[in-house]
Amino acid sequence: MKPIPIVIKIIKRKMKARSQECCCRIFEKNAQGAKC
Amino acid sequence: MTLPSIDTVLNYTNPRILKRYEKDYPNNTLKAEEAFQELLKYFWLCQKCRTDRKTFSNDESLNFSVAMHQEMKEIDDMWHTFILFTKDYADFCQRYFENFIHHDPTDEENAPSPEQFEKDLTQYLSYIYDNLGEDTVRKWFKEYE
Repeated sequence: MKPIPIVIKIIKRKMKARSQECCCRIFEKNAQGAKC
Repeated sequence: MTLPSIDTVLNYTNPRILKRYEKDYPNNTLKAEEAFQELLKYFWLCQKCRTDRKTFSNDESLNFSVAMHQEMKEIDDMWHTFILFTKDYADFCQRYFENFIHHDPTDEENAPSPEQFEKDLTQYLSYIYDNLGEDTVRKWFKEYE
């Protein structure tokens, strides 16, 4: 995956803040990835 | 199902929803029209991802959660507003996506590890970037110059 500057910047910010909380998401059967 | 073009989805309008959002969230930064446009983009992206996962079933880069993050709260407020109008919402989902888009509030259980969170978010942000552009990434995650 090619690094994207804005993506790297947001990841750094969110990892530093540990702001892993999310509001809602689309309900998916057999959802993969993080449930946050 | 055939994924509609994003322009087709963005042409959907519903003044009652905009009016209700303005009434319920007068202090939000995003005004009604803008919040609604971003919500429509989010719906379209969810369906695009769903379609891509079927087409490219072995593509590991598509294994992320299409979530409303904390920074997207005002877009989520608009989603909550839209859901109040159940018939309009159901009709919209059926007309554009041929299935009902359920809303799934998250809980504290099963929180991902930091490594999993980073991987998931990297894939999600990259997918938004590829399909909706940098401006949308910045707007949804409140990353301004």
